[in-house]
Amino acid sequence: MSAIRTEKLSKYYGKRRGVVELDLEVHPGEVFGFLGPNGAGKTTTIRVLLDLIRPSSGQAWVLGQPVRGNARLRQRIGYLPGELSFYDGLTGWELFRYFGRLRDRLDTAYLKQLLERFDLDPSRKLRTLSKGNKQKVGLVQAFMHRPELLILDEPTAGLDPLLQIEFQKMVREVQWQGATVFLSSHVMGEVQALCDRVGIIREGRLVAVSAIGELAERSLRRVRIRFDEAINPKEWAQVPGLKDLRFEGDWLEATVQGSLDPLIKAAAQHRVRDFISQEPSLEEIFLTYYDSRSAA
Amino acid sequence: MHILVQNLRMGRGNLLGFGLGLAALSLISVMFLPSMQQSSQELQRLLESMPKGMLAAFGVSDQIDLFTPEGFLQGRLFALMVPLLLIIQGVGIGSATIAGEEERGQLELIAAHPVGRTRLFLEKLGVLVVALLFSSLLLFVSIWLGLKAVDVSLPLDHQLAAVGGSFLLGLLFGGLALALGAWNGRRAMALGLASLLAVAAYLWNALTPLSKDLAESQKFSPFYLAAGYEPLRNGFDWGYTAILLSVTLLLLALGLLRFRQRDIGV
Repeated sequence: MSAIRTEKLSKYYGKRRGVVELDLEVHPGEVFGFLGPNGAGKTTTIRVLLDLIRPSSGQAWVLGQPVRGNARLRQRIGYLPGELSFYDGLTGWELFRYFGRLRDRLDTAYLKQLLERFDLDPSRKLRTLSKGNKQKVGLVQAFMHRPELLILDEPTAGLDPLLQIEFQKMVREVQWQGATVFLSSHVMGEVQALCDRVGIIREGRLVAVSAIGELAERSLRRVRIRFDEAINPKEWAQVPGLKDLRFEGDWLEATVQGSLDPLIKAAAQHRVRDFISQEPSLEEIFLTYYDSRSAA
Repeated sequence: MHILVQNLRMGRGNLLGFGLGLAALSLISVMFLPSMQQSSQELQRLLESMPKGMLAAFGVSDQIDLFTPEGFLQGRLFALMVPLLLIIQGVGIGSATIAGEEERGQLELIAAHPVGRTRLFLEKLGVLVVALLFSSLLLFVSIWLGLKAVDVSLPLDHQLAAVGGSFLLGLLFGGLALALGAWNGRRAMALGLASLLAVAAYLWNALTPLSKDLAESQKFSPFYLAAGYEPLRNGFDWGYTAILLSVTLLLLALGLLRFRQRDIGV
């Protein structure tokens, strides 16, 4: 049984494209990252899984059951929407109690533990909360009933770095307890830190699914190194994996494909004053993906 | 029932305020009964000097004898003001509770819970029904108490029929707004269309009797079926009531059918 499976899933809003013939499979117990630029169809996919919108064609299953019209199935799902909108007049407590009643289940002890971990004051009215704090409310309500499957749409948007780390710890914990986590993101770094596998979606189509290691190997990085001495260009031409090599005074600039190791080993022969490595943007990852596919 | 209860809890201030306002307004009209009866002849002359069309538009028609307690209360309360207020409440709640919440993005998280579409719709309908019942109850009590206070006796079932007719109008147009919102999730459209139709139905009932050719068609107006036949004087007309309820249920059923199929929040 898959935690999530879609078969030729397509969704059009009138003529506007949502997703096109998406075949997706998420295994039980894995953390799966759904990566793509804004407007690629991530949220559309997620909303089909929650039966909020109905596919134009194709089908979707969650935890082995078809999602269509299956309200009871959602008992086992925790959901964080991409755009949060609560009843602003309620306090955090009131909202959590209401959502608990909708699930006929509220584990107050666990809820308090979550509130403490996320450092959230539940007695405040939701309208007085900052964007980051609202995001925490969203995360708490998604985790609080210990669901088997978590579907999180851009979970770390608006969270400060410390809380992002706390969130990552939470995800690893629930994974260890057997839950499956499906999260969408447009930030490579976040996905890299958390996920076992990544699916890349672009313009409504799933263009690649791969283990996170493979993706990193294939990815490009822009690197700049400043040396304390004159550079000998010939020496660098032999280092494997370097492309677009450029020299400017005591700066070396190059694009690295795959492992950084050869470059670092070579640089270590000299006195290094500065080292800047830029994480590849999504667009660059896509481009490498397409390059490598057309080359193959 | 959790959705119903939560919505009522969040709206309890509005509910109480609206109900009390409606009750107070009605009570004042009832308290005017004795002074009206004393000066009925002067008022009659004043009325005769006014154009019929204008009077009709305000719910005062030839058929109504304004100077009996039934006629006076019909003209002041049940021809226009009370149904209007209950329709305003009904349309407001009906358009807000599904379409309004959907536009603000609040409905999405509720619908993502283990709550089916039918249950969601029915509980939202429950919010509308309970709110209108609550207002109607306060209205009924205030009229009943008011009549006791000024020592005018009207049959209790006729009082109930008058309040019930206005309740049915609120339910019809509130239900229409709810069904429209359930149909496509646009609040402004639900609010606008339901209000427009309510006004049309009112004018139809009020103005058609002025024309000989159209007089017969008055009976097709929901306003006539609920309030125009003077339930306060004549008692409940079960046939009219059945027609109104059937139309309401039909509209709601159509809204529900579509709501079960469509996308939420797009």
